[in-house]
Amino acid sequence: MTIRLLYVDDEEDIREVALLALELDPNFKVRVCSSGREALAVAPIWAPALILLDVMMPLMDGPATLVKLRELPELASAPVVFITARAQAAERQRLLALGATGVIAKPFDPMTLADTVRSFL
Amino acid sequence: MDEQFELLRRRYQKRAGEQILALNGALAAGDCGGAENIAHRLAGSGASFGFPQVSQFAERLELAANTGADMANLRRLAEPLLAELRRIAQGV
Repeated sequence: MTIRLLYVDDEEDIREVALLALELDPNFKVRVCSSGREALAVAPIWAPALILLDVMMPLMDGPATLVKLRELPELASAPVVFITARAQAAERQRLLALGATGVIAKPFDPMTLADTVRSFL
Repeated sequence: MDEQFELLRRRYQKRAGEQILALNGALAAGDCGGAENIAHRLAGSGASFGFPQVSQFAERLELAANTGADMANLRRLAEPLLAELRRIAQGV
């Protein structure tokens, strides 16, 4: 069973290692985007089962992207998991209060990322 | 996975020299925000590529920059990070 994921991060290195790590799960099919704006264009077409969203991105950060995604009828209830290098308890609570399903700390372990993501599905 | 990951790891190593130049440039210019951004990227990536000390040192620098530390302190905190990046760059 194929599970489509969308991974959004402005850092190329991280996108590539995340893609590699997520596709360790043979059921995951992953599309990556380099900005919130690109994600807003791609997500309605890709129809991901879950969106992984970097918090700190230029122009449109993760929280702003989440707000815009929620305005799209197809994605109003799609689970969104934030990825952040600032994953202290207060920040985690702030992100969850925005409507995120979960928060994954950066740097992530490439060997366990797919399992962590699966736990949010 | 192992082979592909090794390729990404090597590329990350090759880019360590660019990170040194960028961080030194920000510190020399007194650009606290620039140093914080570079540290943030390094903090969030180093350990994923097998360089946990990059993440640890960068996190300290990012936190200091974010909480208003002066440039002298930022330069001091950047030293171990720069040393680790030099070690990584030389390992290519």
